[in-house]
Amino acid sequence: MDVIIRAVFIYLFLLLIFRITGNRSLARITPFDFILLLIVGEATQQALLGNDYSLTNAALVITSLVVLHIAFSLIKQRSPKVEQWLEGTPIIILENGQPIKKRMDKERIDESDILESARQTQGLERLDQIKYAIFEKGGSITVIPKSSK
Amino acid sequence: MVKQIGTLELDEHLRFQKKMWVLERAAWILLTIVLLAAFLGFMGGYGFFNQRVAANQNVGVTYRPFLRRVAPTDVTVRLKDLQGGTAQLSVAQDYLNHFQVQQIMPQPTSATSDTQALYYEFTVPDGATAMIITFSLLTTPDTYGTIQGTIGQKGLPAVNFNQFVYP
Repeated sequence: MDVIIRAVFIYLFLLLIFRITGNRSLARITPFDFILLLIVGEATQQALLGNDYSLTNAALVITSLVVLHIAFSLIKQRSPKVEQWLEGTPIIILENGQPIKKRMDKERIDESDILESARQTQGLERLDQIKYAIFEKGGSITVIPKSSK
Repeated sequence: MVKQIGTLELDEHLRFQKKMWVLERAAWILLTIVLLAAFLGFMGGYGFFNQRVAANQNVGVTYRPFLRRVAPTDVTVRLKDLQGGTAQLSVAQDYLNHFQVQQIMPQPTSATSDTQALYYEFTVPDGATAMIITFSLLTTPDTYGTIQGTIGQKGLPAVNFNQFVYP
């Protein structure tokens, strides 16, 4: 019982922590973000396994996490409201070449992040070539160029 | 539900998102408060506020009020008004059941028990009227919540103290 409670607690705790951190941290892996994810992984491992390194304990932890993940995915599928709370929603952060500063500040994104995505995905050079830039649920930035129909 | 924004069809929920931004920031403040509390010792460990003393004229116990499950801690007992020869320390059985005793310094010369307590006997150095004994303990896996300790010299009034064990 103990191992399942720990697995459930850690899963929910990490879900909450990364929800609070903001989606951007998960989308891009710079050295800055990589360090955080690496250390969180290491800290979590000890809490999940405790002093029990048996195969049974490891299997139970993995099974608990997978079952929980499936349960949440089913709940999200049936409830758009729950999905919103768990994953957030996409928001427009630039429209017709004009950045929407308030929304960008709230998500801690700057113009260079939009330009990076524009270069990588569309080969664009300037902000005024962008019709819409959307900050997606997963933390990535989708760029729709002005030439698009 | 997908909305039409200009030529874009997007599942945007700006009102919800604004609420989330407020909640996010409130959560950041809460996390910072939790960290500060932990730094000061309110969540176990060696912070400034995580040491207290419970004492009477025969014994003084220095302990940590906040502990964590399956984590080490120490309890220091100062025996006072000793008459030389040997000293007998009594520790409540209910209290010790919550710990694995890793080490006792100095080592007792003997240990006995009854249903209520464990009794440790120590040799008192010549001329000494007081003695310090340190217990290195590890909380057991099934220990969490409030636990009560009772420690004293055998046959004399003991001191009581409470500790809270975080899961």
